[in-house]
Parts: sequence; C-alpha cells; structure tokens
Amino acid sequence: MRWLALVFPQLQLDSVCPVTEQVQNPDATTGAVVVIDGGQQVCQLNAQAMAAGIRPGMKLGTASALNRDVSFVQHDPGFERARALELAEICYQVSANIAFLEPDALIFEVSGMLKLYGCFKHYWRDLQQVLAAQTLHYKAALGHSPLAACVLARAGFCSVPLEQQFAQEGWLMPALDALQVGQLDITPRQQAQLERLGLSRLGHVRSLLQKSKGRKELAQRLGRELLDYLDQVLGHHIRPLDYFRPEDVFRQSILLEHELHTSQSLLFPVKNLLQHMQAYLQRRACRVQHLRLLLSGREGDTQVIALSGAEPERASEVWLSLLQLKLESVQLSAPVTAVRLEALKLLEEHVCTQDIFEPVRASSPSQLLGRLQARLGDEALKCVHLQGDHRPEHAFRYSALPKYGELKEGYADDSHYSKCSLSLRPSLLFEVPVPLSEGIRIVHGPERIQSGWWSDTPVCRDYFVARNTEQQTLWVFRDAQRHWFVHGLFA
Amino acid sequence: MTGYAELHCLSNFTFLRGASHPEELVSQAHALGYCAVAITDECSMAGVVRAYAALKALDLSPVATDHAGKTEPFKLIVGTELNLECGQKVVLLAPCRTAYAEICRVITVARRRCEKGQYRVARADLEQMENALVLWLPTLSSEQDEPFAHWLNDHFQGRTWLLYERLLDAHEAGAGFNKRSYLCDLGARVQLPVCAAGNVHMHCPDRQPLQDVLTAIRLNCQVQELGLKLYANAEHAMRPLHKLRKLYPESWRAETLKIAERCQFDLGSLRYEYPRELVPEGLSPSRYLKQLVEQGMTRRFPQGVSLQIQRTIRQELTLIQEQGYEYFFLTTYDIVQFAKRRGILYQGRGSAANSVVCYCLEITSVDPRQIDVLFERFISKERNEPPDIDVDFEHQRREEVFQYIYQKYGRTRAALAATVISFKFKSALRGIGKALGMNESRLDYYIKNINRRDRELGWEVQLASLGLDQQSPVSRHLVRLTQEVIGFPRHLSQHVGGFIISSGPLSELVPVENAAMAERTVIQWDKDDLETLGLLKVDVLALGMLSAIRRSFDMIRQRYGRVLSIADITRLQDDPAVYARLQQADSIGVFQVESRAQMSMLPRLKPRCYYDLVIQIAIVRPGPIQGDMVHPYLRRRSGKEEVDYPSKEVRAVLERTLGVPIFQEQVIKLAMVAAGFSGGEADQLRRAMASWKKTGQLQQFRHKLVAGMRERGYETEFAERLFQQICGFGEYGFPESHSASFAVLAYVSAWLKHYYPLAFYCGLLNSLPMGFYSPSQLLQDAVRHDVLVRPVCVNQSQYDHQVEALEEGGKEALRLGFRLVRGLSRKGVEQLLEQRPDQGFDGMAQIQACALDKRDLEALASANAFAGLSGNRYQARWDMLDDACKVPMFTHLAADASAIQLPAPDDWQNLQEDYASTGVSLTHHPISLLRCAGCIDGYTRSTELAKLAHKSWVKVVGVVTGKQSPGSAAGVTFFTLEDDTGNINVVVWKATARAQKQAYLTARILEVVGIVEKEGEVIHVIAGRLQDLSHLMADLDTRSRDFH
Repeated sequence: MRWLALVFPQLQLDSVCPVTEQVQNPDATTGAVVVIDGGQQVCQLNAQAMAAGIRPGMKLGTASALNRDVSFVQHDPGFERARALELAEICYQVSANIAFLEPDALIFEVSGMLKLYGCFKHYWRDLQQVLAAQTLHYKAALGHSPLAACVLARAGFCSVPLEQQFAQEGWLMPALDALQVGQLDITPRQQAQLERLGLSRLGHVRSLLQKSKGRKELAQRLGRELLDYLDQVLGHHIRPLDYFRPEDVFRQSILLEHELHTSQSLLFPVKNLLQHMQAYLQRRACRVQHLRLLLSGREGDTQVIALSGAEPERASEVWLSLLQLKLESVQLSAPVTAVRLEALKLLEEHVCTQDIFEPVRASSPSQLLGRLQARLGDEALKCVHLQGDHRPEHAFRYSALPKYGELKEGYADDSHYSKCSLSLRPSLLFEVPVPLSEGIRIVHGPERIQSGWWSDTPVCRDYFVARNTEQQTLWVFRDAQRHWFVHGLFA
Repeated sequence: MTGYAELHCLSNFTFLRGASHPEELVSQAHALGYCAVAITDECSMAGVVRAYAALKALDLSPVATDHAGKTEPFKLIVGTELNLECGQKVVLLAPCRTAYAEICRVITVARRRCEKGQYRVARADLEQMENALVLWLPTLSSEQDEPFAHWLNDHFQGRTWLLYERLLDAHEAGAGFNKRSYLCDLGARVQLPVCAAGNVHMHCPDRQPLQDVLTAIRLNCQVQELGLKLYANAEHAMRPLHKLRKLYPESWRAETLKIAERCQFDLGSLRYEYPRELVPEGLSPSRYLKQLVEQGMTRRFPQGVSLQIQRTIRQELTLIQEQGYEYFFLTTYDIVQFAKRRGILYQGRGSAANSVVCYCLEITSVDPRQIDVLFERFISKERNEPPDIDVDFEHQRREEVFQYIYQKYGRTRAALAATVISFKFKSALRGIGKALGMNESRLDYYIKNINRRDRELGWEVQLASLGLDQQSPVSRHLVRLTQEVIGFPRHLSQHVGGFIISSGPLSELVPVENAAMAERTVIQWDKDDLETLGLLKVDVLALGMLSAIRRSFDMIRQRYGRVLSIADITRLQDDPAVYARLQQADSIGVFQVESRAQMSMLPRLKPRCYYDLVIQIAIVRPGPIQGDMVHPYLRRRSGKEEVDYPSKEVRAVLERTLGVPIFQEQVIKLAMVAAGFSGGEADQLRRAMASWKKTGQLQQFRHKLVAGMRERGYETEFAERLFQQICGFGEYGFPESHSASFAVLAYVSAWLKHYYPLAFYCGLLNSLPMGFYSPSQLLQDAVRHDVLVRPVCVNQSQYDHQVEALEEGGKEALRLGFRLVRGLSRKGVEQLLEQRPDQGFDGMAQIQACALDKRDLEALASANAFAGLSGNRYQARWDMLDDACKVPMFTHLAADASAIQLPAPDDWQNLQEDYASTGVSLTHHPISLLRCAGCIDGYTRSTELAKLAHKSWVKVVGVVTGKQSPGSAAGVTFFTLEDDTGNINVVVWKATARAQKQAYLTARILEVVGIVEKEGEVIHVIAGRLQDLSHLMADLDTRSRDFH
C-alpha cells in the first residue's frame, strides 16, 4: 500500500481539553465539552459528553438537557485548518510528501520514505512519536489511493493492524466494499440518490461499475463527478496531490571568533549576515519587514533583538542603520558567542516604477517613522482617532501606528463625528478631572452627559463653561454627588 | 405659575424608539401636573387608543391650570411626528375630528406608497390639510429653514408654531451658535410663535438604559458600539414642572396651554358608517333585516314556527334595532351568501351567532331547539358589548372570501385589523442579550433550558441556576431590561381575519398601511383597540375541518347521489350509533375530540347527546383542568357525588353542568347573580380573565367577589373556591357559544366517519395539513376500520385521494393520490394526467416519452407508483434517471432498456422507501418487521392491552409518534407509541424522565416496561423503564410531533 491517511476528528476539541485529562477520569460527569457548528448541532464531543448520552448531530438544546453542565465551544474551521498545517509542518520532520485534505486529514506517500527508513514499522514508529507529543486523537489507515486511505481512516477501520495493512493487499477490497455510502465524502444528495437505488454500500456500487456499460450509465444518471470520485476511491485513477511545502524562511548563524562584550561591536559581524540576507532576498525577489537577531551566550542563554522596519526592505544598509539605532538602547545580558539572523516572513516585492526625473527625497514619512520607532520604541508612537461616545474621556482613543501604506488614507469613519465640531469642547482635556477649588462665573450650560451605564465607567455629570478670577475659561462639571470638578481648559 | 402641556411625545408604538407604554405616559403626565399630553408616534396612530383606554380607566382627577384654582379635566391630544423628505421634521396635532381625518389620510398615503414599516412624506402631501396644527422642529441651518418657514406660513397660517426643545445636550450651543437665540430670531423674522416641548421618549429617566438598548436593537448592533447615535442623557423623559420652569421661559410654556386649549377632539366620538349598498333602495336596514329573517324562517322551519321561537325572534330583532347593529348582521349575511353561492362551507360561532336570527339568516346551523338550552346572552344590552360572531370558512378557500370583500368594497373601504406583535420572553432575552454583547449561543442555551411553565421558579431564578453570574453588572442589566421590555410592541402584523368595512374611506377613521403579504392592507389598530372604541369588525376565519366536510359531502353526492348539508345532519337529531363510537374513544379524525387527552375523556364522560358533546369539548382544556373542575363533574355525572346548590340563582347558572362551572359565561353570570357585579364590572372581569397572563389583574377582583358573595349569604369557602376556579380558568376558559358551534362540526364529522367512512377519510386526507394526526396515522386508523386502501399508482391515481370502485362486486377502496408523494411537483402531476391514455400506460417507455421532469419521475419511482409496470422500484428509479431519451432526436436510441439490473428491495428497504417517499407504508410496519427479524419479543401489542388486569406489569414497544407535555400536568409527559395494531398511551413522570434522559429525549423507537392503569375503557401504561431501540432502525423516517 502506498498511501497513509491520518484523520484528526477532534482538532478543535483537543486543543480545548488535552487528551491526558480525559483519559484520567472518563466517568466524571463534569467536564463535558462539545463543539457546536453553525447549525447549533454537536460536531465534536469528549468522553464525558459521550457518557452523558450526547451524540454527534444532536442539537445544543438536547445536549444541554442531557447534561446541564456541558460547556460548548463554537466550531472554528479556520483554527482547525491552521492547526492541521502546523501538524503537517511537524510531521515534515519525519516524512516528505505530505498533503492536506480538507477538512481534517493528512495524506502521506509512504513508498518514497521507505528507502530512508528501511521498513514501514520504523517509519510508523517515528511518526507516532512525533504525533504523541501533540496529544491528539487521530485515526490511521492505509490504502492504494489517497482517497481510499482517507475514507477508511474516517470510517475508523481498524480490524487489520496497520503493519499488516501495509504488507498485505487482500484486506483492502472487502474493507472498502463494506463502507456505507454515507461514509464517503459525497454530497447528501448524491448519498440519497445512491441509497434510493438500493446501493447502500460501496460494494454495491463497485459491482455495478464492473458490469458492462455500468460506468457509462452511472455517469449518465448520477454525474461524471461522482464517477470520478468513485474511481479515485477505488484506485482506478489517482489524481496528483498538492504536497505541503514549508514556508520560506531565511536563517543563518555565525559563530564568533571571540566573545563580544559591547553591543556596538556586533555591527560588523551582523553586517555580513545582512549582506547574505540581501543576496538571498534578491534571488527570490522578496523583502522582509521583521528580523530577529538571536544572540547566544556561553551558557547557552539567548537574547533576542527584534527589528522592524516601517516598510519591507532588503537593503543591508537600511537594516544596519536601524540596528545601529536599536543597539544604542540595548544592553547585552551576557557576552555573545554566536549570532543567528532569522527572517521568518518573506514578502514579495511590489514592483514600483520610478520616474527618473522625480526628485529623490531623502526619506519618506514612513521611513522617518521607522527610525523614530526604532529609537524610541514602538509604544512611544501613537495615532489619535475620534470615537463616538458622549463621555468626554472616551471620545477619542490612541492606537498603534498603522502599517506602511495606511497612513495616507484619511479616517473615513471620523467624518460623521464632524457634528462634534458644533459642540463646545475645550482644547485641553485633563486626564483626571481636578476638584474645583476657586470661585467661578458660569458662562454657559448646563450640558448634561449621562451615559455609559453599560460599562465600568458610567458618567452622570452636568458640564458648564465657566470663567475664573484669572479670566481663564474652564470646562467644569458637577457630578451626581454635587461635587464640582475642572475637566479642561479652553484656549 | 402656569401649567404645561407636553405636545411632542413618542410611545413604544414608535417601534424600537419609544421606551414607555402609552398608558405610562398618560399616567405620568397627569402625576406630574401637566394639563394635557399629546401622543405623537412617528407616522402612526397605533398607540393612541391605549392611551385613551388608560385615560378612561384611570379616571384622572382634574388638573389645576392657574393660581385661582380653576381646574380642567386632564386632556389627551392625538397627533403624529413626521420626517419629511426635504429633511424637515414636524409634529401634527388634531384639534378636531376633521383634522384627525386629515392626519390619518396623510399617514395612510405616506405608508401605502412604501413597503411595510417604511413611509415617505413630502410637502405636497401636507398641503391639503386645512385644520391640523403644525409644530415645526427646524433643522437649525438658515438656508433650509427660511424657505420652509415661508411655505408653512403660506399653507398653515395661524396654526403653526416653532418648537423649542431643550435637552441639555451638545446641540444646544456650539462654536458661535445658540439654539435658543436662533429660534427667537427665526420666530421674529418669519412671524411664528415659539412653543416649548420635550421630545419625550420615556415617561421617566430610569428608562434611559432601555431606550439605549432599543436603539441598539433597531440598528442591529451592540449598545457599546452606538457612540453618538445614542442620546447623550436622560432628558428625553417627562420632567417635573419646577424643572420645566427653569428650562423654558414662561411665555413659551404658556403657548403649550394655548395649543392644548384649541384641541377638543375626543377619540371616543369616533363612529363609522356601514356600507349603504348592502340595503336595497327604498328599505331601511331594519326592515330589510326583518324581511331576510322572515324569508329564512320559511326555509329553516318548513313545518312551521312555534310561538316560542317567534317570540324569541321578535325579541332579538328589537334588541338589534335598539343597539343599531343591523348593518353588522347584514354584512355578515352578505359574506356568507357569497360563500354559499360559491359552494364554500362555513359555520358561524359566537354568542350572537347562536341566535335564532342568525339561524334564519343561515349564518349558523345550530338548530334553535338545541339552542334553547343555551344562555340567552346573544347581545347583552347592559354590558354594551358588540355582538360576537366569528365565521369559519374552509381553510383552503378562505382567500376567495377575502378577495370578494376587497373587490366589493375596494381597498379603501375594507381592511384587516392589525395584531400587535410584542416582545415575549424569548425574543426579549435574545434581543437584549445581543444588544449587551452577550454570546448568542449562550443566550440560546438559556432560552432552551428555561421552563416557562414552571410555576414555582420564575425565569430570573432559573437563569441563575443555568450559570448566569448574578453579580456581574451585565447580568443585572440583562434581567432588568428583559423584565421591562416584555410586552413592548415590536411591529404590527395582520390579524387572522378581522375585517373592518366602512361606507366612507377607512383612512379617515384610522390610518391604513401595507401588510407584509402582497395586496393586503391593515389598519393601525388591533382588536382590543376596536373594542375600546366600540367599533365592530367581522371575523373571517379558516377551519380545516370545514374543507374536509365539504369534500366528503361532494364525494357522497358524486358516488352515492345523496345531497347532504350540515343542517341536514343536525336535523336528524342525536344518533345513538354515532355516540356509541365516541364513547369508545373511536374518534381519530373527529373534530375537536381526537386528541389524546380528549380520547381519554370520552370513555369517562360518555357523551350521549348534543349538549354532552358541548361539555366534552370545553372540559378538556387547561382552564377546567387547572381549576380542578373535571373530576367533580365526572363524579357527579356518574352519581358518585351529590349535586347541591347554595341558592336558586346559582342553580339556574350551574344546573346544566351539574354544579361545576365549566364555561366562561357561567363564571361571568355567577359574578353577576351571586356577587352582585354590574354588567360593566362583569365585562371587566371577563377581560381580566382573557388577558390574565399579560396583566395579572385578576387579584383585584378577589375582594369584590368574595365580599359580594358573603353579603348575599354565601359561604366564604364557596366564594374562595369559586375565585380559585376563576384563576385556574385564566385565559383558557372556553365560551359555551363557541363550544356549541364546534360540537355541531364534531357531531357531523363523527356521523360521516360512522356512515361514510371512505368519503370521510378521503375528505380528511385531501384537506391536510390540519388536525392532530399525520396521513400515516389516519390511514392506519382507516385500515383498522376495514377500509381498503390502495397505493399510489401511475395509472389509477389522481392528484387527490379518491374513492375507487373495485372490480369484484360493489366494493370500494380508497386510492391514494399523487399529492402524497414527496418531491413530486403539482405541475408534473398535471402533465402526467394530461398525457395519460384512458387505458393507462402500458410500459415504462411510454412514460418516459412524456418528457416529465427527472425529479418528478424519480419521486414516482421511489413511491413505487410504477409497480404495475416495473417490478422493482430501484430498477424503476434507475431507469427514470436516464434522460438521454429527452432529446427527441435520440428517442430511438433509448429504445434498448438499460443493461443494468438492480436487485429488488427487501422488506426493510421497501419500508424505508415507503416512508421516505410518502410517509406512509401500507404493507409493513416497523414494529412488525422488527418482530419478524427477531429483534424484539415478549411484548404486548396495543390491541391486547385490554386483556390485562389493572396494575399488572407489561412491556410495550412502539414508534414514538407523539410527545406531549401539557402545562397543566405538572411535569408529566404523555408519549404515544404506535405499533402495528394501534396506539398506546404511555405516561412518563418527571422522575422517570430525569433518570432516563437519553431515552426520554431522543428515542424514536421506545421499549417501555411499566404498569397498566385501567379506568373503565381508558388504558394507560405508567412507564418504569425506558429503553431506546432506535439503533435498530437507524434510517426510519417517522416524524414525531412534539406539542410542548
């Protein structure tokens, strides 16, 4: 058998409650967890839920009636897909030629790996070891085609042990024949069609296909797609798979001749690394926006320096100057013996045509921002946005600097806050209102603001514009306890 | 110190904006000392009648209008707020009846031109208004305001004001802008007086959170996301006078009083005229009515009219004339005559319907000799109640009656009453929870698990036990806001069938708007509003059993040449053979008495005559059950208990039901004769009973009832018991008059089932969906009554089920029709029938040549309709799937049949296909198949239960076809198990259910081990052990109907 399929029926659930807990006390009535899909039906459940009588396909209401304490989680196919790809990456250590089949299966092409492992037993052992560390539920089966293996794995076929499955062939056809059409990956309508012709098992369909004109007639009546799928399951035809490809990353390390003690002295060796990186990126026509420098010490401890540019860059000078700025504020925690440069996310280059007559600017605003960020730290630079909220403290917010390219656009959603321009608001708002301690003369008011009852910071205040003895114009308010505060100053 | 009148006020009938009920606004305005309040919902008059009803009910004291102590009665003004297309906003008020009609017309035009829930109004629409008052809220930008002000002055000279609404928000003043001075200037420039108002959205500021949440629901987002779309504060509430004094200058407040002064329109003065064309030229309505009654008398009483009946007719006609209800009867008469001409079966019901006048007008078929025993009540003069007639029509043809009414009177003069759809617990919790940002699945979880019928634990307490953290602020908001919003209106929908028909345009009486259904219009008031104002509506309702009966009559006429009508059957008087069947609970398919609960009651009550049926129908309802009337009645009927009456008056009321109050009328009558309630008070009691769940107002009657009865010499115990019975009755007490009409149909259907079973089952099956049972259950009942049933056949069947003559000597069978086949289109059937040769198809090739849709052919194949032509339905389906022969060019190619031969289905598979394709299997039953396969044994069949002794052990197995948890039954669930010989009633107590939850909740085939309980002929199995056997039949398609 050439193909191995691993099916993970509970990817999401397994990340919510790890396998080991479940195995410990399968009888407990607490701790039942189910995953429900968009139609409020149970699609994954753990052992405690099973013990309470909950079954897949049940509605949430029924499940909770069976077990009051059942916790439920919404199904997240995106998460499962990402997790499956992670698993593929992990399995890549053991096996090349891995393909991902929606929504929850990995297909391995075994025959290619046998040269490396010698026999199937060793290969499977190594694969199992890698998977065991992940604490997941999975089902495995072999087949003469990817889809056959997948279908058998999903159906939970296990009456023949895996090694025997690999070695022998006679077990495969009976196993496939015994499958019900509902266990195939076909649409409900196709399933109904087959069943209502009395073809309730794959074996029935196979014997039909073997008759003369059987294939033609089936295709005519039930569609070529179905015939195609059946052919793939039955091994008559194997469509090439899209194999998993690990992502491109740049990683390079160097050992230093002798320990370096100061951060500035790092610049020279790193310059080399950056130049190699530039060449690598140039070959692939990519840029990077984030770099990591891992500095290892004698004892094996590692210090990580992260570098981010405001724009994707590959020029080593640019990165070097950024690094220089960054290193001014970095203290080495230990003498450095090795340096490793990692660029984990490669971005494809945007082709930009440059007009040779355009005056070249020294640096663009985004480059300036990049330098400021490198110098002061990411947290020191912020944008201000208007927010819709009646409470003055919440009428605006700070946010992190937008990424490259977004600075240019205006904040379209602020336009309808322009009605704020009508209202009286001070130029300076105190972060914390100050109790009023002087005499004032009220010029305008009250403006009553009563809002935010749903949050931790409800506001119930009467605001006034007032003038004090020094002719300053203040924004004061009186709260629900009739205490007076100053909240801001008008220009 | 002047008073104040609030002239701009929205109730919660401005859906999802107003946060208070109209009643609350009225009562609060009065409590604050306002002189008047105007309810001005947005483009709507939907809330004004409730405000008016509150005004009447609260009996408010007059309000002081000035220092000198002069007082005036508190006033309700009606009007509407409109947002014009040009961006301006006005409030229109109605000072007089004509202005009110103008406003209603404008609202109607604005709403009718848009789809439901929207409106559009332009300046031109308002120009025709000569009397309405206009209050204008300017946009505060001079370019737009000046021209509009000129337009106002041109068209509404002397009756326009500028509105100043000071809401202490950011719009009051801004950079270089001040609203007050702007309005002063504007008013001076364009010569318009300024008036103060509040833009009231709630009656008190506490409602601000609710108003915010309603906005969130309306805009479909969370309340935290609304930002500036919320109001900045709680000033949109009714404010006390001293505060208003500080906010507004005196002259502007005084202006409100001047406006209020001009408004003299009282809603109570609304009347409408009936369509005159109903009465022929030269006759008065009374004369015409009398004429029709006289004509009817000769038809209905061919043997002559007794003196007693003549006297009754005279009395009734006099009463009708005194109260001015002639048109009402004439309208109803006209409608039923239309139905009669078209052959649509109908039946009137209700207290007025059971009068002799109605019998003569052929509105009902209840023979007055039977009515004699009923209460006279038909119109109660002292209670000033409008007559109560509902007319049921065949449900499949009611639409024709609707169209007749619309055609005859036109869309401007006829419209349906509205129904107010309001927030109930589920929608309230979900809406509020979503607005507060709670997870939707969690909300669903709470809703699923809260038992609304749990009397001891309110839903608030149940929420806590479901894991809602009571301490968190969000939860507290959730609970409080849900409590507040339950009962709030959400939108208007059309009433089931209540029509208002007037002589002039309806839109001068009440605004008319579009319903969701095409070609339907509704008025903005519901049936309670109409009753408050004393306006009459005609109820045109639908009843499935009428369709079934009419079809049976047609079939009987066709096949046996006998012409029957409902009146013909009732004239035959009580037939003991028919009653004998009912006493044995052989009532599947019989109107009103076929449910499981009714079937348990029939052998106990043993109805022998018409009036027994009337009682039977009314007694098996939550009201009498909860009020504990059922057992006393049965005991007295069987002589186990003595009947005694505390007084002559009580005897007169309760004698017909052996001293136990069963009907709503009895309770009302007792309140009047035994506790001294006046007509009006009794009417209030009736309304409180009808809406008890919503308003909980019954308690206030308790004191009056008990005291009144004690005064008249009754025992306290008797009085208290009666009150408890009333509470138990609640909204479920059935009126005797309705029960009487239903009893007629029950008897007729039982009669048909006994004498013409084939026609009966046929008519019933052709009228589905209706009734309590599925086609499968009805057919099994038919088979048990020795009816021969023939399956769907491509050569024999029609679309409907038919009675078919068999070749061997005079016998007949019920032939199932194509309508039973799932997935078969009506069009496909028509095509098939068109092309079917007289002697039928003789081969599959011929059928395929008909070029029917592939899906239709597949459906027919799976239903085994080709059984005569192709032995095996799998093969037939396989053959049908091939559409190569559709193309005419290739028909010769298709001549060779498919080379593939599929094996024939076995019994199991046949059964599955039967259920999948038609829901019915004539050849097998799952239980018999299971037995033959050896999967089950040692159980008792349904027909053998009668042989077992009371309290003996038994094991039964069946398909779960019914699960009922009636609220009156304290956590008990009734299962109906169907085996191959009949139905078994299983009682599952709460504890049993809890201990075996999985089987209880999910089993489709259930094995029950329990104890037999026999009471006479009524047999139940009390469940002990439940075992789910569904895994034995994984693919069976039986659908269990859950009545919860």
